[in-house]
Amino acid sequence: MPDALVPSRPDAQAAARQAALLGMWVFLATEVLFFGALFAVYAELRHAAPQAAAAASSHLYREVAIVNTALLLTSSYLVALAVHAARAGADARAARLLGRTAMLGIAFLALKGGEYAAEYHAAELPLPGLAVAAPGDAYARFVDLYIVMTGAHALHVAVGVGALLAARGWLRRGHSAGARRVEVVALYWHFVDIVWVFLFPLLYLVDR
Amino acid sequence: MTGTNDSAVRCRLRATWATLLVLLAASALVALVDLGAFNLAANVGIAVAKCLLVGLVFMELADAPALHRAVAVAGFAWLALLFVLGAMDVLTRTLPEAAS
Amino acid sequence: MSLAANARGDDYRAPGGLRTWLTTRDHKRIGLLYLVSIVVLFALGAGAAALMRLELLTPAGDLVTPAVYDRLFSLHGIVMVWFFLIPSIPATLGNFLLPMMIGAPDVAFPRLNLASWYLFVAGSAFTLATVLLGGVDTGWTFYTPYSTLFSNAHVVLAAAGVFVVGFSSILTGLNFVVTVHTLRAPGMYWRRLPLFVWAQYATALVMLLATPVLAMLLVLIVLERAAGIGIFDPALGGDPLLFQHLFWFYSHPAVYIMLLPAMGVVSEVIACFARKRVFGYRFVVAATLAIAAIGFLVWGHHMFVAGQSPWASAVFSALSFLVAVPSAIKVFNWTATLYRGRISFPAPMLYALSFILLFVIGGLTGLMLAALAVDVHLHDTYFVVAHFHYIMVGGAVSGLLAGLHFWWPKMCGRQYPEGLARVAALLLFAGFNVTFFPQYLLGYLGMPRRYHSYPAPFEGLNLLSSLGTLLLAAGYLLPLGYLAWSWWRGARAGRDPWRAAGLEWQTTSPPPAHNFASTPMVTREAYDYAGIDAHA
Repeated sequence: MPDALVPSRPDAQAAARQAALLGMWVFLATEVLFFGALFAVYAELRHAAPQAAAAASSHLYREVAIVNTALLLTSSYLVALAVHAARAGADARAARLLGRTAMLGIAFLALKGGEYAAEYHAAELPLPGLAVAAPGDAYARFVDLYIVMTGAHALHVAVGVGALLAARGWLRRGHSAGARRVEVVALYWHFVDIVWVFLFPLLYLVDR
Repeated sequence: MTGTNDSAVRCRLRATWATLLVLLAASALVALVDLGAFNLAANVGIAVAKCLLVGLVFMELADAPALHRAVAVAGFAWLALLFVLGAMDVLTRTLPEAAS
Repeated sequence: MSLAANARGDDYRAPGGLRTWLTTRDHKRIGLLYLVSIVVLFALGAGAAALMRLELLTPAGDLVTPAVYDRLFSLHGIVMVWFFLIPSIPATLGNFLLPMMIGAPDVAFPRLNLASWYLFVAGSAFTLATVLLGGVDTGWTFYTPYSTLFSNAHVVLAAAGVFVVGFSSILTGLNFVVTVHTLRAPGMYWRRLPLFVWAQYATALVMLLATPVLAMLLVLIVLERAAGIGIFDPALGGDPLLFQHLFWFYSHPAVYIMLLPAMGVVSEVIACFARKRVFGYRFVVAATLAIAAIGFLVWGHHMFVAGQSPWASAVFSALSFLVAVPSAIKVFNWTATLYRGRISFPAPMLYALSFILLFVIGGLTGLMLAALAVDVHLHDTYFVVAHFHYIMVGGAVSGLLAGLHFWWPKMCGRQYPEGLARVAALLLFAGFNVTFFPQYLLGYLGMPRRYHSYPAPFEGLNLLSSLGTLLLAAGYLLPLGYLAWSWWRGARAGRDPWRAAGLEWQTTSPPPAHNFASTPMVTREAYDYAGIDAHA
């Protein structure tokens, strides 16, 4: 065979899949450190001012956060099902599941946005731009950190929703790399879920 | 892919999802009880458990190539370096707030 | 893609508009785009340094105001670290060579590779805007609370530029790691990888694991300045030392991002011009990975006098000594490679040898600075300035120039003028030492960094240092001139002018679009010079 050196098509697909998955894993490792820097700042704050952290945390909307956690955990489940369906060639089902995952992501963002709005209007927290007398300086720093951490996470959720919808589009158009891309996007989405899994107790459940 | 395999996978995913929700309920309930420092330990412990479930089952690290697992571990291992060596300073320094 | 199309040679040298370059996904063209970009940025950084040395000719601050001087050294640091040294070898030679050296047609993600260059350009644009609007005066370290609360300069813009360029280096690192793992040619086992590839791989790991922390830190600075988010504000109980921990968690390993690739170049060049296999290949690989890993454990030695806990300082000091072990292993292995080799001294070899010498001086003075008690005396003096310039200019820039000359015939298919190149190499070596060795003495005598004037007794050594920059400038301008000239006018180089080992020499110069007419099969270890010379 003169073409022996050119990898055959299925092989090339498998290699592309391996590269894409490894690429996403490597990217997620960098994301661990990206958020990790914030968790390090958080740890220092908790160590230096435990009472202030607890006081500030008690003003956050814990119930909303519980619902939001449930939403993200469920969305992770749905996107795992979507990967399973896409691999089995059930593209329509996979696309449907991706759509639902994205909906849960949007619902998460809506609730989070509602939280921010309520916090701003209630003016209980020393949010940037609000001249609220905080019980202590570290209190304000905790609130600032809460904004940065949840904000960075929300940004990732938004990017994830976009990626989910893009993957849904590739599947629907029968893109040859569709299934592989679903796998890669799903990894990213699970990671976004994991970040929240840590943010939830550390930000909302301090007051104990 | 055989039918039994298909339902086995879906069953596993569903069981994981259910466990995750149970863990969520657990962390919400633990927060209602005052356990002192153990509240933080429980919170973090439950979060780690959730993280492991998502990582091993949903992200399929349980049967991923060793390389993928190594990459995932490396991210957290390097973060641990940041925490441990940073804490080495923070914990042995006298803090102004603690002094007052 | 048919094999015939792959084999068409001279692809990027063929006439083609700017558009073919700006939309390329070819790793070789992207490497060359990076090369041109970093030369421009280097000129900017060098210009700032030249003005500083001009100011320091005389003890009085008579050329620029202190505020302008602050902006000069900040610009010099920011540009040289993030826009020149970090991308210097990986993004230019690494991009150009890494796929070829492992027998791959390109990197794993060619589009991301181009995106990384665009991010570099975007980051540079921010930096240029910073300069045009009046500069930044925080130094390259952006220490809080000065950067967040007190500086009146363009901190947000400068930090945004570094943030953006950080992602370009993350993308490069990601590409290299995935490429080395997934695209090695048949027979290219890990134990056969050229040491240059190992060095790029280790560098990529450092880029990936360190840069995100810096990125988040820059976000926090920008938010603190622009949105009143007070994470590090001491008035809110924020801890400026925490900023320094996070900053050096990136910035100390970043030293190895600059240095490891140069060490990879030196291994290739030394082996070729000693006509011997690299002595103790496995030890060099292990040392490469060890430097990358241990580099993460030592950052606290930048904070000995900052108010860090003395216990932590002691541990960081001890850990810092550890880095010397793999570094010394490398130097011993290069020396042992030279031992009883049939050594010739073309320009790349001269640069490689000056790397070794200057790196040893820089490394040993680094040990002095890692010693807790000595550092208290030498911290923030010119001793530190001299030390890291020996590592970064003497080391990293010598390495870049060694590699650039060594692979220049491969990159453009033409040979540079050897005589001139040797003169340039010697000029650079001499100019570098005349410029920076006096700074060791100045620092030891107690001259502090970052001041635009100094007491009169320091004048002689400063004069010497400033005059050295003239030689140094000649050593930079000469290669710039003759390399550019030889791109068009140099003698044809042929496929393998050095009779070197390595897959990159088996393809044409310059290489065709996908590097090899057919996927190469690797049957030999790297550096089989005995085998090559036996066949000659």
